[in-house]
Amino acid sequence: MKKYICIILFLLLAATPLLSQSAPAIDENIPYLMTFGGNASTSWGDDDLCQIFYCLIPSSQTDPVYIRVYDPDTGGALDEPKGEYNTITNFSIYAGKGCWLDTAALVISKTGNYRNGYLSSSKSFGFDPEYDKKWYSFGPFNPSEGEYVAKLGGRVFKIIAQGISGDDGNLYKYFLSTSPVENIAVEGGNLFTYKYHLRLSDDQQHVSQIYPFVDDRTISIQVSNFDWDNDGIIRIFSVAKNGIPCDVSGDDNWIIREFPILDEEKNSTVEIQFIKNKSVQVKNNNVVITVRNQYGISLPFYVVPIGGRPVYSPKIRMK
Amino acid sequence: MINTELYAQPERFNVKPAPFSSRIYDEFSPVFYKGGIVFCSNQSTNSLVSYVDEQNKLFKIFFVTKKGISGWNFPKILAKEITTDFNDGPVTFNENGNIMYYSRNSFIKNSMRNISDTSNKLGIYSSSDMPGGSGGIDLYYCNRRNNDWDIPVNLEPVINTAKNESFPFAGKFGKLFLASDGRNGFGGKDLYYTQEINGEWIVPVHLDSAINSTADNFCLVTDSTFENGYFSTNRLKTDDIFIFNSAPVEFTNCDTVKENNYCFTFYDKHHQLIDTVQVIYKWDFSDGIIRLGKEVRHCFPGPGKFSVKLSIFDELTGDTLAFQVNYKVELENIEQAYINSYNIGNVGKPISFEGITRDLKGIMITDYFWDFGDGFKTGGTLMNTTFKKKGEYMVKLGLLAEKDSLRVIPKICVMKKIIIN
Repeated sequence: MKKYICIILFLLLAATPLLSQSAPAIDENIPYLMTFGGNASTSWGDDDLCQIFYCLIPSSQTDPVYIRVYDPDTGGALDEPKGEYNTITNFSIYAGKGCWLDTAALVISKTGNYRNGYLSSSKSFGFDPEYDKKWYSFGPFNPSEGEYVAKLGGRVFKIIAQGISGDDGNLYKYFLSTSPVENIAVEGGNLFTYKYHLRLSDDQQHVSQIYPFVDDRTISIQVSNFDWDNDGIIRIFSVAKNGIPCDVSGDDNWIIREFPILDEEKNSTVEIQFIKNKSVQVKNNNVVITVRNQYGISLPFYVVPIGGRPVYSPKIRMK
Repeated sequence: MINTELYAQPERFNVKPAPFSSRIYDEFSPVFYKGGIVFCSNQSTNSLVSYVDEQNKLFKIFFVTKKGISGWNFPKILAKEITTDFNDGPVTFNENGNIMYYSRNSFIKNSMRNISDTSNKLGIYSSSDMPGGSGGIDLYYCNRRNNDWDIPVNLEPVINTAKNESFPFAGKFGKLFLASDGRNGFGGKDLYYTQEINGEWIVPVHLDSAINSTADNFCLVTDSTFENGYFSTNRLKTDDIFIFNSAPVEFTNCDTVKENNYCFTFYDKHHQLIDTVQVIYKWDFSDGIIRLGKEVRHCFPGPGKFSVKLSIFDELTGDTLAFQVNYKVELENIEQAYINSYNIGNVGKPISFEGITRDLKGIMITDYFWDFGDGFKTGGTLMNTTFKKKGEYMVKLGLLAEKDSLRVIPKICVMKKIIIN
């Protein structure tokens, strides 16, 4: 059965045109990833001051890859100051065995063995104009250094962005590239996380979305969001869900809403959509999202949705 | 599922020689006339001395009347005026009994042989071996128009065979009785009946084994209920007229007529989970009707194949979530016999009842029986009845179908409640 599950996921991955490996992805329409300084209050929207992303590199990729970070420093126009900029953020790349475990989905915060694997590269950034609005490239990494995960059909590297000190918000992006100086996608590559720390746009017309993948063991999902701050609506789309509204959290707290998963939704991508509040403008809104299955295991958000964006398929009946 | 019971009686009719039929002469082609029977015979009686040719045994037209409840008077020549030196008869009368049609046979080829007035049409049925038929003697229908006769029309191949079909008799309720030696009967001429159902003649139905035999059986006439009548047979060597009568047909286990439903509520089963979703459902029923709503009700015109297309739009973003998702609807009527009538009527005013059997697939209905509260009686597809008292009546329609491969007759019965005010 496990082998069967792996084959399905691998086939879905193989069938998905993974041409762009930026996080956030263009289709997600999310401005930036977000990590606050080590001394920041969680009320700014970051519950644990740490973001863990995984880079999936297909087995066919043998040339070196680079993990590029846009605007890794905390300062300048893009980031979110809380008084004078005083924040240091550490970006660490992990590879090798244990980098991604089967239990990785359980490790969604900076607890336990979240830094498993071996540290391949690390650098901390403070208020450094040299990297403001610029790309910094980690690497080169030999793809074979990544942990081989059969069910994902490739090798995995882990990126941990963690606020070391300070209280400002660091806004940044990732790109998985074959070049150290420009963004050239790794064919068949992808980026995924189990806990999405993101910054929403200030534009009230903005609609963003992220894409958790639901495997065939899932019979229900618990969608959790942190510090939504009354910034509009969160909705769920899938082949069998046509925009079901999700409960939204207030300031500095989590809220959970559970949804049943139908058979036709298994082994497919779900879309979580964020529609900004059109009546009241909410600026600098930082949000954390997780999706867990009925066992409490987190499901991965792929920046390039597995199998493509879900298309709602009505089940017409007559009575 | 149709509730059919097998009509297990091997012989529905009792038959016996008619008292007025002799054992040494030939008698055949009885027809009803003024409470008696007119028939053809070559029998010799004292009263016929001047008309009977003993050598040639020419057939003359006789008339016999009833004597008391069950007796018969001695047969007499019907009318000297039409008695000739040819074979006279057979004859038939119109419904009022004031017009007689008869044939006179001089053994000339291509002659019209046997005729029968129709009970509910203007013309007559006849048999002839004229060219252009299916072979042998065929049955024809000849329409009467303004005292003129149209060219006879050969009845369809479903009735006429390459051999001989003759002795038509048009009974009430559209039944046409005939004799044929071209079908898989018992041998020689056998008796059948056919009728037009939904505008088409059904394959002739072989009559009961008491009526048919390995000898020739022909020229059947019956009352309106097909419960009593006469037919001709040579099973006793000469042609004789036999009387037949039947036991009443009973039906049990009548199903209540179910109304066909063509109206349905359409919905998206996925959407049932949550009802606060801000989406617009647009249903296109491909007949020019578009309905908006998460649940919509639509009535189709009747049975058939239909296409329903659903589009869903996001109210918040304006996005199209689903575009013209097709759903095929195939509606069939309930497989049942159906009584088409008003459900409510008034005392003293006739109500029309129609027995509809087109939804009975693979079953060929041969007999209609109606029970309007006074027991089953033979009828047709269309009946009118008048109720004399207020109350609830359970009108029943009993049907006999064509024999199946085991030569048993399926019975079907449905009923419908009628309220009389």
